[in-house]
Amino acid sequence: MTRDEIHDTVVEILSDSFELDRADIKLESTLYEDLDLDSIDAVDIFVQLRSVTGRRPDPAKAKEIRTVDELITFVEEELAAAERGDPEPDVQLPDGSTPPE
Amino acid sequence: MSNNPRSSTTHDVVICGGGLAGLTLARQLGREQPELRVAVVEPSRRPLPMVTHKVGESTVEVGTNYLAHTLGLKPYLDAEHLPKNGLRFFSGDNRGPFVDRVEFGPFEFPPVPSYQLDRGKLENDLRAMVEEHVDLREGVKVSRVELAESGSDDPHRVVIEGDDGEQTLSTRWVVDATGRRHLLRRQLDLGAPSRIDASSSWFRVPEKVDVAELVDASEERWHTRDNHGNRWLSTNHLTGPGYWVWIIPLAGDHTSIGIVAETEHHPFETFHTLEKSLEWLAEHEPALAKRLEGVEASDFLVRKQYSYSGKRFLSTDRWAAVGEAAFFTDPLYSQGTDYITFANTYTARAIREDREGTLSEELVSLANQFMLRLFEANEDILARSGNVFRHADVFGTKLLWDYYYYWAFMAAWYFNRVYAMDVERQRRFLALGDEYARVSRYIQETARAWAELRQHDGWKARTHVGLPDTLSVITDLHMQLDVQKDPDAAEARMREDLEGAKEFAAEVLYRALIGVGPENAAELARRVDLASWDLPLDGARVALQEGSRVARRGGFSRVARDLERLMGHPPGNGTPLARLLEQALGRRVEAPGLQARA
Repeated sequence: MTRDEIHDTVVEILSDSFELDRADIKLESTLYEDLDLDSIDAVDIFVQLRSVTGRRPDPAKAKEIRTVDELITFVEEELAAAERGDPEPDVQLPDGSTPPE
Repeated sequence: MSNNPRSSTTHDVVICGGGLAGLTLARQLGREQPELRVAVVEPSRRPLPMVTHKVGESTVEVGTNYLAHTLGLKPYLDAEHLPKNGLRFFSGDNRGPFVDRVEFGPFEFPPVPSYQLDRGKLENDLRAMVEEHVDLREGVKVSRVELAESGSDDPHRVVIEGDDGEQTLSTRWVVDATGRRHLLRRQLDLGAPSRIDASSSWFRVPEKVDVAELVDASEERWHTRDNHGNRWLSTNHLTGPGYWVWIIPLAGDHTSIGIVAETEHHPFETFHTLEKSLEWLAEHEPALAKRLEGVEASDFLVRKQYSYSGKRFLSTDRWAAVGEAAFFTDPLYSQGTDYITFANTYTARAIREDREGTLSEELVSLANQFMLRLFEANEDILARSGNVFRHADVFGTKLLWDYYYYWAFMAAWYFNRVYAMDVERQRRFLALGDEYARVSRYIQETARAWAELRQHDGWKARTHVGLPDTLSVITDLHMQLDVQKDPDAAEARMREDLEGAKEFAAEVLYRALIGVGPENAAELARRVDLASWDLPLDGARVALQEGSRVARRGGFSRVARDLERLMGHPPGNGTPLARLLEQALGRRVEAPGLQARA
């Protein structure tokens, strides 16, 4: 996927999921202030992005993302990681532990 | 046996039938009460055929936890059987392009695992495992069971017949694990009818049938959203009007294909032979039928009106019936092994307490009540669901509730070891269970009426509904199964989740009202007997329905938010929800929190 294609996909996901006007979704728009999303919305963005990246997102990396531009870069990096076959982050239980083997 | 000299018996427990239920009970008893003298009497001999032995067994969380941990089979299951990638459903237009069906299923293997078991292999291997500590009689049939007089301490007598002729075993306990032979059920008149009226046919094909093959490779997003290409390892269900079809992988690249259909919608005669089943698939599931063209089925089996209930499964008269010898509800949701788990576990406890001289009528009665409630809960979930399968929005909403209910109550009962708690505490859990059952009936009835009266799509179709990794009420219910809790914490959690269940029921009602619109709101209320409901309906929440996304987010409960995240925001047709509710109730619901009572 080219950066432009990723951009279009990200805008489509944001507008469809959160009733946002496409014109309001700019590269420099901040997710939490400009687009008025909260932490649950953020989880849902990453759920939707799994269908693009084919990977479980890294919660630590995801937490750092502030703008639409950074979100696009994140998808780019995830696609590259998928290409390289990088391992995915661990699943965490609600108490912070990982599921028993 | 405290007051029964062991010398007068040949065995402590005779298990009639060495299928999955009987062999797992034998292994459980061997691990937990190794001093017991246990016999298993089974007419068939090894080796059992692989793949085609019995209908494939797909486990869900309870049965998996039992096999993996209570029976210590985790390393064996990981090595020898297929992991299961959860339940997966494809709903919506059954005759349109498969890519347009709405998919409900995980992106990857769920954190709490389950398996696709090969029954032939599992039963061969379990026999080899239990014969070290159990008197395993293969190629031997139970001719009859002579039960001791009720209330007496005399041994039961089990008359068996094999190559060496007839022999009599005398035993303290007798367990019927004969499946559909229903040894004790017939003898003691334990049978009861089921409200589920459906039949099934199934066959196996000697190749891997991947549901992903039903969608063209050019549909990249459809293929990528299954993160690791493991859809085929799910128990895949294709749902349509009055039916569902399963596609289940078996070991050795075989696949099981089954039709389950309600009699009301699809008379059994429309699919009771292989030829008719294939014709039936061509009509109702054309994409799958096309994939199966030219594929030779290795077998074909049917079960007409497969569901049946029982009056009880356990008695202080030292007998029990486990597995299909006692109950069979429905293959949807893969709960067969769950029933085995609960029946075996209560039976093992009763046998132990009998030895210790502490077995009470109270425990036995509670165990019977629990199993019957479990059966009734599943009847509520599954009976007359034919129209619900027709619509992806109705079905998806109901499916999410069924998960909620399973994880919050049924699975929690096992994972929190409620069965091992004292009777008084279990009674409190059972009372909570009655509350869950009441709420579930509201939801199931609402879903049925919604499916029948549906006027508006009310739903912008999502293509894939998978649970979020975190920050979701429903996901948390699944994930917290593996979080250890003491009895007080388990009880508090189940009580807390009951409040969420009530919110869930209210949300289903709101969605149904929007779906049936002003034309049918009053009729829906009549069909579900809304006037008799005892459920908090929050006027403030109702007023938010037409509000902005940010307003809804600020005012919705966690459950309401979860449903909106997963099933979308129903746009409605211009009639505000408050007005629809007024039509349904015949009066206004004021903010906040009025009770919708008669």
